[in-house]
Amino acid sequence: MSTIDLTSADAPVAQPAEGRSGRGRRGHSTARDLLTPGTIIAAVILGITILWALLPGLFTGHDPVDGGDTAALLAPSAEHWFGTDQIGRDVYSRVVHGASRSLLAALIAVGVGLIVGSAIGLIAGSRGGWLGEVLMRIVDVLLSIPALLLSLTIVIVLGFGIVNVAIAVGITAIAQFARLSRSQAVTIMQADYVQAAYGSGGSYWSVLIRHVVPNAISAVLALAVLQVGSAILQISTLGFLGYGAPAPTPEWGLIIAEGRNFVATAWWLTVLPGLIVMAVVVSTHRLGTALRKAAA
Amino acid sequence: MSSEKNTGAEAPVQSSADGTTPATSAGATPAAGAAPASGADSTPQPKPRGVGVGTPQKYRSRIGTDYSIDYPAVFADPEGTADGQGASVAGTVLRVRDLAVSYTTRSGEPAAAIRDVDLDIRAGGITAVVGESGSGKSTTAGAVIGLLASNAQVTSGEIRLGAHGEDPELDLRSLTPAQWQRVRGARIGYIPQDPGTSLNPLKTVGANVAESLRLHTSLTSAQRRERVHQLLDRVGIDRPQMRAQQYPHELSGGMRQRALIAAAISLDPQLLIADEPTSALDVTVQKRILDLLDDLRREANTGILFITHDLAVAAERADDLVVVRGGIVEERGPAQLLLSRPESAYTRRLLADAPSMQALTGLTDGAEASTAASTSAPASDSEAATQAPLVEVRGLTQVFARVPREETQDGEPGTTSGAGAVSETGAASGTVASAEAGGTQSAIIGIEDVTFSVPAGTTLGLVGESGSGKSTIGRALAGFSAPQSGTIRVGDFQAESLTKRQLREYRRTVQLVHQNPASALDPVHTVGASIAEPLRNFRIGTKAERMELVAQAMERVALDPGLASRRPRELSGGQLQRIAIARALVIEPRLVVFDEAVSALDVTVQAQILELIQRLQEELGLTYVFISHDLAVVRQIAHSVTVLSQGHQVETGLVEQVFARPENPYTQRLLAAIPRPLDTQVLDLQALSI
Repeated sequence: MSTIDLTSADAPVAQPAEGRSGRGRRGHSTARDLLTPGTIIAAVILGITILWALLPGLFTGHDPVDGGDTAALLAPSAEHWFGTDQIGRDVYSRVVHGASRSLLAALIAVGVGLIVGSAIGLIAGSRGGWLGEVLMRIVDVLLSIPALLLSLTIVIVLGFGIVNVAIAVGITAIAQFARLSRSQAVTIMQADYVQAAYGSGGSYWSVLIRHVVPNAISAVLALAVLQVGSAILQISTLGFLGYGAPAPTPEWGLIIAEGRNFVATAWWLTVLPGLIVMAVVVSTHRLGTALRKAAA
Repeated sequence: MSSEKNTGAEAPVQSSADGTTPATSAGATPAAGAAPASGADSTPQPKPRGVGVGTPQKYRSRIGTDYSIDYPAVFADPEGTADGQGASVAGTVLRVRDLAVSYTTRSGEPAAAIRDVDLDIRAGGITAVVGESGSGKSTTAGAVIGLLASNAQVTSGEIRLGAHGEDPELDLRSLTPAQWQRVRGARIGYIPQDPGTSLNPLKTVGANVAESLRLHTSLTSAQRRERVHQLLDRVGIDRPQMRAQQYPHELSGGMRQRALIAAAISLDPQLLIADEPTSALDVTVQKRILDLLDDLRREANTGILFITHDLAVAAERADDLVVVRGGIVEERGPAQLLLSRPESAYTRRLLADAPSMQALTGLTDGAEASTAASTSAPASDSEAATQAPLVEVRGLTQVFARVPREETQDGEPGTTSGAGAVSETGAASGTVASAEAGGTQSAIIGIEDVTFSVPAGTTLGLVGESGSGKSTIGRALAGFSAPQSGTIRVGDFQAESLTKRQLREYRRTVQLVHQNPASALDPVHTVGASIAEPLRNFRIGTKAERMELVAQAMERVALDPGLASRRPRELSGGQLQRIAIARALVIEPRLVVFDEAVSALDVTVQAQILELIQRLQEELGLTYVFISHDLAVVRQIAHSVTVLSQGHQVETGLVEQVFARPENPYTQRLLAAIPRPLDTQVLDLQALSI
């Protein structure tokens, strides 16, 4: 999942750079708009995080679960970049190995929100009538419950664990996807080409699949990238509260939660992993915003 | 030009006795500036008859009819000079030499948008810049008013604004932004293209008009209000006190454009830039707006830079024409000369392609088309007598709302010019006009009791202004809405009562072509896929056969089948409309409804598409319903015509009949409003019919 989403994020950047002849000036300027220093840094940070998730062995030689006989609560050094925790595990190594779990969970969460949310939104927007009303009122109910409260409730119902946390976070994202895709669908349904499609004998579903979905998808995907960041944050929050992966697993929220007890004597145990989470969240947000602007 | 005569006759005795000329007010201080203008408003000047500029003041007649002769510019306004009004009152307002503007593209390569543009605008003269979209005409206007896009810059040339009253001559290229602010609005007025989006919707009309007064003068709010009322009155808006407090959405398009003109002239600028001021308006409204501009420049001696794509409008109103193409001036010169002896091939083509120009230059192309129509139409008529027509519409009614009587009267006052007594008569004639238009029936939004039939193989033109309900008929015919009452029969189908299954079959019989091809084609699909879509929907052929059919369809509309893999944004407007037509024809319908199908296109492209449509009709025996607001286009292509006004059908008949002998007053007004270049004086319906 992680690679899929990132390629879709990179695609508009890369494509015009290839210099396809038919694209002309418009594609070119889009590429320029995307290639600000901010987005480049964001893309680099995300790229590193994805490499952490895929090939953690390349970045660290330490075992994330077993500290061995290393001293506990060491300060950051060349050997242990983020120091060691209370049982001597290398924190940097735990953060690197935790990337895969956190990113995977975020992608599951966004996937749930994207698929369910845009299905609801597209149908509500293109059908209208009582069906659209009912669907959107359900979405309003979802929206009215605070996200953390809703996800906590769902996790308690589903049971603890990283996947359940991801699903819970995904459900809280449904409302946003539904609202966006509904507004897209409403606009697209009024376009001449949709009328022309009906005019050439198209049925509701063929118009939905052939015209509404492809035209709505870019804005929805941009929101998805935006949501990855907040999903990581929410999942870390739930992990921090203890609803996520069980103890020895390297997971970002859990790492911060464990370091919290030593914040007075070993601040780096919470601050450095916290900074990593923040950097990743801000990067996805930056990329998501840039993509949304490019899509608009 | 009939209305001009009328206003001339209606205009009260002028007040030039006190020696106050409109030109005087411009240079004076703001406080003093209002006074003469108010004088001009209460007792408007009669317009000098002469088309030329610089008619000496003393020859202005004191009674309504003006016998003054055209004086060459050499004699221009000697009195003005003597009064110390500045030598260039009747001189050159704007002088542009060798103007070049280029856009810096992202790749850093500057692309020239216009080159070597020369322009002269004299006081009281109209210079029209004519060209197709992308020809650089708006860039020219932007350079003159200093509002170019941020990536554009004037690379060479000279733009000089002539001295005016106490204001010195200015080199517009060297102005700082702060200096520009004192020039824009005060010395150069700007009338934007689209009245629908150019007024701030959150402010009242009065506040919108008062904006430049607020910025440039130190008038109190009461004085400003007074001035705004005068201005609104001046541009022919009735009940200005009430209108000033309304919001833009409460006004019609024509009235909004009037309000924008009022804003542009609020400080008596010496130069008005009108950027396609009428292209968003109906033909009758367009005529009134153009009349108003004509009055203004004669009265206040304002120079007008008129940007348009419509050669007929330009030719009718302008003194000088500048024909631009691809950023280069193709030809420039006095309008009369240029039209009678166009030197460049491009100008000749533009002249030949503009439908309303054909109407007049006539007897060549137009006559052929007309004779062709008149020979084929009676033939099909006699056929129609033997076999039932393909389309029969009886008593079609679809009323969305009935418009209260009062609102319909608020339309455009018939004649413009001046204030006071004239505006009252104007309002009165407006009432008469709407009474004529609606007859005894009330105006409605939608359509009521429309009846017509279209014999197979012929074209019916549906003509009317915007809001007349012609698109409603188009949608009902194409099966997109079921009418409230009435019947529509197309072939064997009763379109008003189709089941879902029948509707699908009906769509194979009737196809709709939209106005704007760019929005009617899905941007994410290739144009080939768009053409193939009806085939897919009706499960015609295998994939390979469909590709073959798409290629055939593209060849039929004279497009290279190789373009099938392109996306809509990679093609031009004309190509896209060909694609849209190809899509409509690929499932071999019997009836094609064109909803303003050529209105969004440049004249040259429009002419090509019309030719294509006619050829396809001959080859495939198609039946057309052609919806348009453009009478000239309808005359060119249709066999019979139905005229709609405010939801009612006012006239139906064969094209040559309706155009030669319009019986309904509304049709007559509509015909009279067609721009008539070469100054063809009084309304001559015979000449129009050719």
